[in-house]
Amino acid sequence: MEPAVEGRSAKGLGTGRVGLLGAVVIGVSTIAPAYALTGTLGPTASAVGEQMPAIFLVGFVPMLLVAFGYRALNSAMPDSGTTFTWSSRAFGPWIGWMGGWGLLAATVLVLSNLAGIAVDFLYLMLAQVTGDESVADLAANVPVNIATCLVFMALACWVAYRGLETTKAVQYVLVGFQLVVLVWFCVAAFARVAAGDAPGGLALSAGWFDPLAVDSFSAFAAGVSLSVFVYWGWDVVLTMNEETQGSRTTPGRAALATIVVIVVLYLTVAVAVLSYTGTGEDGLGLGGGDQENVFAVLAGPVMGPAAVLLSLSVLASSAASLQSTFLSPARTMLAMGHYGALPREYARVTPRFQSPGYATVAAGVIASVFYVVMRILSEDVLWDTITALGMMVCFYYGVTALACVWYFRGTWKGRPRHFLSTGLAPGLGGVLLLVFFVQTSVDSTDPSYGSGSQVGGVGLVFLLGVGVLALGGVVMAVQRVRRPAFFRGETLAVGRSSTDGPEGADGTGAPVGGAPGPRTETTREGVPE
Amino acid sequence: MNPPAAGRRYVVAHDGGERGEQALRLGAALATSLGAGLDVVLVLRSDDPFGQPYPPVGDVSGLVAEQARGWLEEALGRLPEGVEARCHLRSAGSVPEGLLEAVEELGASAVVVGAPAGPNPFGVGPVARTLLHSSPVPVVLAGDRVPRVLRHLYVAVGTRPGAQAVLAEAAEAAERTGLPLHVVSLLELDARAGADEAARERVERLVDGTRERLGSTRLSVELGKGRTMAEAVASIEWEPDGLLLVGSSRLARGRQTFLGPTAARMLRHVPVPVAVVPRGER
Repeated sequence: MEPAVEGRSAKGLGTGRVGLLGAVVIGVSTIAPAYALTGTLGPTASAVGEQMPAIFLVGFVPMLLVAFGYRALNSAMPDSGTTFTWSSRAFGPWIGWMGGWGLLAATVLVLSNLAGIAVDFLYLMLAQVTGDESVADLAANVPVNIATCLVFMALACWVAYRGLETTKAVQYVLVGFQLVVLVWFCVAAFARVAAGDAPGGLALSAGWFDPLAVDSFSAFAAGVSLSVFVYWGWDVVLTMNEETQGSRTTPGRAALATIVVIVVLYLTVAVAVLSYTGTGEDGLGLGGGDQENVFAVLAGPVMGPAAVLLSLSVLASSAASLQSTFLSPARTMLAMGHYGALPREYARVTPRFQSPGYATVAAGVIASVFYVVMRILSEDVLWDTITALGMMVCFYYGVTALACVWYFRGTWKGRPRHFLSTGLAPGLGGVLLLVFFVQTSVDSTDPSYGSGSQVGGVGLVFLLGVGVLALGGVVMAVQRVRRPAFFRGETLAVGRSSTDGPEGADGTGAPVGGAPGPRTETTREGVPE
Repeated sequence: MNPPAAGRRYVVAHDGGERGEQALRLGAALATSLGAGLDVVLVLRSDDPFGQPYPPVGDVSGLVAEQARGWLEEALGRLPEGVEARCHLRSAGSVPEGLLEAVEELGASAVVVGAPAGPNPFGVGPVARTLLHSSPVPVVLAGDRVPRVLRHLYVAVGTRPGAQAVLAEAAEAAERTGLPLHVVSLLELDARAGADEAARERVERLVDGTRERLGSTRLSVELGKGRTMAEAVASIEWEPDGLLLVGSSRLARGRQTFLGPTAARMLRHVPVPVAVVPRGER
């Protein structure tokens, strides 16, 4: 007997309808702005200097283009494996496996970076609360740092294992608090510039918004890789279509409103930090190595006693993201286990919590080991992981976008809008991201790249980015020997969207095992064309 | 397969794990002994859209639903011969919510849920607790000891309102099944707590009325002795293959707060499964 899923919504999301404000809150929460900014401003400024605001504007373009591809793939093949499943369907098992590995590597990198940021801000906040400066230095003590980080990791892993989620109220408070504190920070920074007591004290210049003024293509590529990372996750706003309340206009408006909020916020913070500190390498200048965690350094000088609010906001943002970030690698490993690309254990769902238990714990262990090794190898671990992370996101988003183009090829005739959203936009975005990935990879072989950490004369960022991908190739070869079925295309066959409908309603569009679950049924009725 | 003549159906909360296993075994015992059909229900929790993770993730519900289907099929396969059962995979914001929706839709007359002894001495688990506070039909708690077949019915009565409802329910069940009914009187406990004479006499009359209905060979009264609920419950010699019916308002002063801990305490001390019958029944 094959029981069909019954119930109100019969699909993954959708317990509560989401209104316009709710959609914007969700959109902003998926990019964790306070966390993303604190880790990225320093490395970006050191790559592109005063043109940082321009890069934040430009970096959004490939993300927007790729987001269209994500949306199309997500409604055609809703699946736990996302990049892995989609690129396996489009390009076959080998590229699919590497795409999945890229996603896993990116999420493991972001886990270790999030945890590292959380540790810094925990001690900074304790120092601000107790008024004892020396407490903040504990974060620089390697054993203490590692121990604290492992505690954070374990807690976040446990929360993810239990399948707990942040709720509507928590999300509203978190997002609202982040926005208020970031705006406060900007106002305070501008006030100090105006009063003449800012260390940089630069006047706003139109050249800051001119991307062509960046010195070299290398610098440009490095900057865009980083800004791709700050917009990472934004594409969720587009795939939320079905959840939004009422009319057909709400999703569009929500996506637009989220874009405006995020871009304006990023530009304002970038300009505020730039005019306050300048881009020099001395003191508080953004080019210096101390700036791998900008708000930790600037909070006190800019906001005075209110700096504790900024610490709290970044700590809350990164801690909340830390636990939800575990879902991403866990779900991809679940799909890879399910389709036989990884050992069977990864496909295990814990009955009581309905979460991929084995995969969650595996992600926690890998991220912890990774963080410990990195912390010992690199003095500027946050800087290097962020830079490598940008590369990795470029890689797997690029692969995903091209998978979209290849999957939907041949369905475009006489449908210009469909061609734009599944062909031209993701194709262009994907090619751009892969170009930035290659350029950054080549540049990062230079031992002085990024923070200047190196192993055996090769830049650590290169080892992290390309080395981890190469390791993926090795693991893939092992899996090929052990589990040939997946690599013969027996569990996840190569396919393409049929010409009569982009949603794969003829059955060839749906992945073999997983997706014909609750979600597919609703998707078929509910997808606006 | 046709449903049994009585048409009574029980919703069994299955989760694919240990709790679901206990509920399933008790459900099978109830079905065999009381002549009911089973609806084995597994509720998939749907993601809260506000729980959007960073960075974006795939939709896991397809794979979870597939595994859950496997668990349900396995569960049906393990039920003893002759038990009429269907299974349902449902989706809801929370497990209790989905179970109650299933109860309403399927017209079930009880819901069976696993409540193993956990690390919390007063806990019955979040699912059982929520059901106890909100279910319109009896909630049957499957503890660690589950009989294979039921041969005895127990009903606990005291002076607080609700004795009538739970006695009537128990008498009806005894009549329908032919099982002997043991009335567990907690009057002594209530007398210590200062219940007035008139209330106790009223309950005694109710018990006498039930005895006339069933006949004295089928009904026995057992007195719970002791200062506390735990002592009173422990003073009784329980048959291991019994089921205890408890009226929720009988035990709960403020039904919201008292019910969970009391049911949990009874579960701990009573060596048989407990069915909590809501105040409003009949």
